[in-house]
Amino acid sequence: MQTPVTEQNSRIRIYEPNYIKKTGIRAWSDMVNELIEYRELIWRLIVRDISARYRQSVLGVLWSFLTPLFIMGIFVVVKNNKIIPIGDTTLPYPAYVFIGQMVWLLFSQGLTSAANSLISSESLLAKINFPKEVLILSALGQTIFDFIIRIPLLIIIFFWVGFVPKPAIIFVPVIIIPLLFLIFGLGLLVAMFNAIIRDIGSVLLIVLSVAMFASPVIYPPPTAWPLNFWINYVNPVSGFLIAAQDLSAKGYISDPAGYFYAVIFSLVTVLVGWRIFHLVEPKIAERI
Amino acid sequence: MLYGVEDIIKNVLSLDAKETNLRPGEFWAVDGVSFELRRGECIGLIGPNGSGKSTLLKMLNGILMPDRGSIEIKGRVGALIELGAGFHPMLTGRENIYINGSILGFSKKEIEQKFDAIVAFSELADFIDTPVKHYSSGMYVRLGFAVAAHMEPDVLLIDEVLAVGDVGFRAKCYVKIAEKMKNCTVVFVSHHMPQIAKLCTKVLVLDHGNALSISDPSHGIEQYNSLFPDTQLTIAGTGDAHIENLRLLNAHNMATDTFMYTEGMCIMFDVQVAGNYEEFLVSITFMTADTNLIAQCHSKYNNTILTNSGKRSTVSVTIQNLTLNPGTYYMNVIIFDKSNMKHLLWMFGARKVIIKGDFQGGAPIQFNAVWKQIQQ
Repeated sequence: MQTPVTEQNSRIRIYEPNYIKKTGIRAWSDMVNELIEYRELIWRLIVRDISARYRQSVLGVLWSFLTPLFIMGIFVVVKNNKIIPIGDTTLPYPAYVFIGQMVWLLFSQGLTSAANSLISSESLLAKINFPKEVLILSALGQTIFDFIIRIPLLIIIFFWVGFVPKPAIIFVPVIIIPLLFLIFGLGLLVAMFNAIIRDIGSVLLIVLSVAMFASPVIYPPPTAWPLNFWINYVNPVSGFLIAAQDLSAKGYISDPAGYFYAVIFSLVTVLVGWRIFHLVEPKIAERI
Repeated sequence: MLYGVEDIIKNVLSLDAKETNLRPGEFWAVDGVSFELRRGECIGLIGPNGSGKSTLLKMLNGILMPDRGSIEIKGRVGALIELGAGFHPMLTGRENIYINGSILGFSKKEIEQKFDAIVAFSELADFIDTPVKHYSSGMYVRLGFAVAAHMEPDVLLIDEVLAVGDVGFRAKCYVKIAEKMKNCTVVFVSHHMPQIAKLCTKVLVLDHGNALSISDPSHGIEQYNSLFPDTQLTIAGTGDAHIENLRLLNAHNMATDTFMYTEGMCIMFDVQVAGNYEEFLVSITFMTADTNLIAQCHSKYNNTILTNSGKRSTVSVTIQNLTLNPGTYYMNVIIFDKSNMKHLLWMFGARKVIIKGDFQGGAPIQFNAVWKQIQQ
């Protein structure tokens, strides 16, 4: 049985050098349409990787809890014993660290798995033609899944510390949507460079492990100049971290300008990153 | 790697990436190849390893972009290049069918419709809920082929992945491909010439990235075979026998290595066997360029007793009707002791035999049959 030749099936493809001539809106609509066409594959790959990850492990989803719990535990001990003087936080400290960890891990794990996504599917890239953004998005999907399953644990922690967060906490997932754009945009860039120069992945790991301490995750946002500028504004993740902490503790965003800046930065990153990735895409299979 | 970085920067800055000059260390993997195909046609890409077949296939599939020239394809392209793409070993066959299907561009609905057919084709119904890491390698590729075989593309690209599974499944694969070919244009890469002859309407011979010819299969295959050096003569055995003056005579008693199809052939040689053997046997075998044995003349089969006195003798073997398909073959000569156990002499690739003729069949040997038709 032959599928009826539809408009889309019978389209003509032309492959030639410098084939990406389109600019502006038309190029963007192509890029978005391509992903919409492949949404099912993105979903399949997310489900594949999540179900494969838990298939043979005893602790299963508990693994997603271990990293943030461990970090939380360490810093609660550090703070309580005054090993490092950490100022007062808007939320009870364990909840503060945990909610910060949730946002931070979304960023760092998302970026790490995006960076490796092209390399780990090398044979696929070299043999099958599909938009390569799919792999980065599916890596991102897994990290979002991790974020979601950590929510119940956050609720338990709020019970444990005896703190009732402001109802505005339910908007936290909404306000971090631009963060996903930031991860996607940066993820495309690091994945692309990592595919060609493997050192990028190693550099990224080092940068990310240090960067957590340059973000208000385990300490409150600094208020003194110049540290507040560098940590609260230059670091693009901080805007989202502070906004998430504020919504839970105060019910409003105390520094809308900082958050707004982070959103703009994220949108610019995704536009630039995606466009570059799309331009370079045909070279990736050649050079990976 | 540095070229990669350079290319990326050029692409991003929209500089002219049309490299018409090669940088040091680069070469054209495919150059000066052009062809046109319509629905129902099948082109075979043949050539030695590294001649650019796979690169060309990847370009047709849109994975690699040409650095000059252009490719135009109408319709949905399906590639039978990588079987079981995206399979995850921890997941079951059922889950992997969905994943592989999505990667090949099926929609969820299409996969659901075809799911039963895919499982039936793979003959793995009993294991469909077993993780594929427990599959044997044969089962793995069977499942991969079953999914890929249910694509319905307008243009089908096939790399030599077809020889999968056991004999029964392989036969099934060929039937499936032949079925697909009716509805689409096929580009077929293989080193197996009988398949090329069977499936293709045209053949493109590639060598070092250059198209040597685009022609009908028999010419293409001939040219492909001529790209390889002749099989070297190899002599093995106990060394108790020697052959000299091996010659092939045609119907006019002329020594030659070229024969017409159905012409007679006489093989003559002088032989000397050590005195301690009273009798000996001679086997003459014919093989194709890829060393597949296809025909044999054995003295025992023809009830000929070759006696030995330790002196030199001349043996002649006459074949009345040489019904080998036109092409190039190699002849081996083996001398055994009486019990057919010990190789006194084994001449591998003793002579090259070229058969010429107008007729090109699909199998190496044509029987000379008597045909009749009775009108009703």
